[in-house]
Amino acid sequence: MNRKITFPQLAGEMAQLTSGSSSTAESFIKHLFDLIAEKLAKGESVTIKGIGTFSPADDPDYPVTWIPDKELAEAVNEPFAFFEAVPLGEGVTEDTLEEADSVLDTTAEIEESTAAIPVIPPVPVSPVIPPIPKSTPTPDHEEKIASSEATVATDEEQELQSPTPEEPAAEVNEPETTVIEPTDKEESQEYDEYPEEERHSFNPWLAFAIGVITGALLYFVADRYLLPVTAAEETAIEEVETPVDSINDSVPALETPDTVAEAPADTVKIYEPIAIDTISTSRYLTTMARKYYGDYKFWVYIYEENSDVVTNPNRIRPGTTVKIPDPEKYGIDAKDPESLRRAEKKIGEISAQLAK
Amino acid sequence: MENKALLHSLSTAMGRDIKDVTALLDTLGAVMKERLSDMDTIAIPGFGEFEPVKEDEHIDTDPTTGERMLIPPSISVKFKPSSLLKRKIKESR
Repeated sequence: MNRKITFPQLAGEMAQLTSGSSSTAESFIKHLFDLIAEKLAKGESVTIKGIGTFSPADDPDYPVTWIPDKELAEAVNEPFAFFEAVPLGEGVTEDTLEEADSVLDTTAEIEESTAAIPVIPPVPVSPVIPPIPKSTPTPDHEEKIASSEATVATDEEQELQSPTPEEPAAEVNEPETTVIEPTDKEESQEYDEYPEEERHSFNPWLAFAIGVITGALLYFVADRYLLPVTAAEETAIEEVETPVDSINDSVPALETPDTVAEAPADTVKIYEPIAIDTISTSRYLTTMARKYYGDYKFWVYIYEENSDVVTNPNRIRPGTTVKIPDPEKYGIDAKDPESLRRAEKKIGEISAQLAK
Repeated sequence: MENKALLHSLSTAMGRDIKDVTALLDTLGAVMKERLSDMDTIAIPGFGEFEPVKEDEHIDTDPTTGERMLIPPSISVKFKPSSLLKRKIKESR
């Protein structure tokens, strides 16, 4: 990537590919280019298959012109191979294009900044990579955010809860038999567990005891109350962005990882991405399309699948991760001319849109 | 000078079979293609540098029709002859 390949490196790579010695490769490169130089000095042009044509020119600063081999030129330009020159309508100037670009840039930045505060559950990650290792860090992550949100939210909460800030904690220490009845009280206990971080760190055993008692309570009221209670808990968990979340995170600590992992999975529909890939300066949507689907034209579908992170296919930040959609989702088949034609049509639509 | 003649003189210069030389040339082409596609510059000492250059999209006007085209971005490889090669060519003229 933007490195300078020196003579020994080039020879080394050649040697690896031919499984020959690098001295052979070195000698070959030397001979080849000496020969070209010799011919050029004589005023002859040289055509080499796979590399291109060198010909002498009159320009004293650039006495040699080189036209790369067609195949080589195409391979190098592959990331942009799908673009075609587009005629512009009247009134479109460089300025309007720049404006459009700057709009795209700012939206990209906004997206990036929102991504930096991961309020959005990391939907794309969990389905592909084995869900267990990936989903375990997720709750931690959210917990952190939640706790920061909680510090803000607790003020409000406390005002709301002001009638009962102290007493439930006392109740907790009473024998279980007294507490059997209402679910209301139970909820107020849950709220009270995390009003401030101080208290949280202040008495972890109390939290543990509350957890145990809550569990016991749930067990006792199971027959009549279990269904409504768990349902309520689950809806609360799904509201990831609300402060209520902070409560859920630590009460049924055993349950959270599962439910959190499930929630994003629901949003992915039936087709799951077949892979996750990362854009770099040499890996573009086209190269991915060719790798996964067998034809670069299918990049449009990857683009469409990732329209939330990719605004302009020509300006994707390196490091952006994209989902590679299931080929069936869009009817991708490199052997089917109809499928290819559809992709081409789509490319046309998108480039027309971008040119506006 | 055509490819075949070139291969021939290479094989005599190196004292190797023409098959070997062809294989070597193919490999060189493949390595160059791969490296240049990765936006790496290849420097051949005493000869010059092959450097991929990215050109951004821009508007071009056709001087005859006046039609304006939005030219898409592209990457092309530029060759910069080394000063040694330049001198060599200059001296021979």
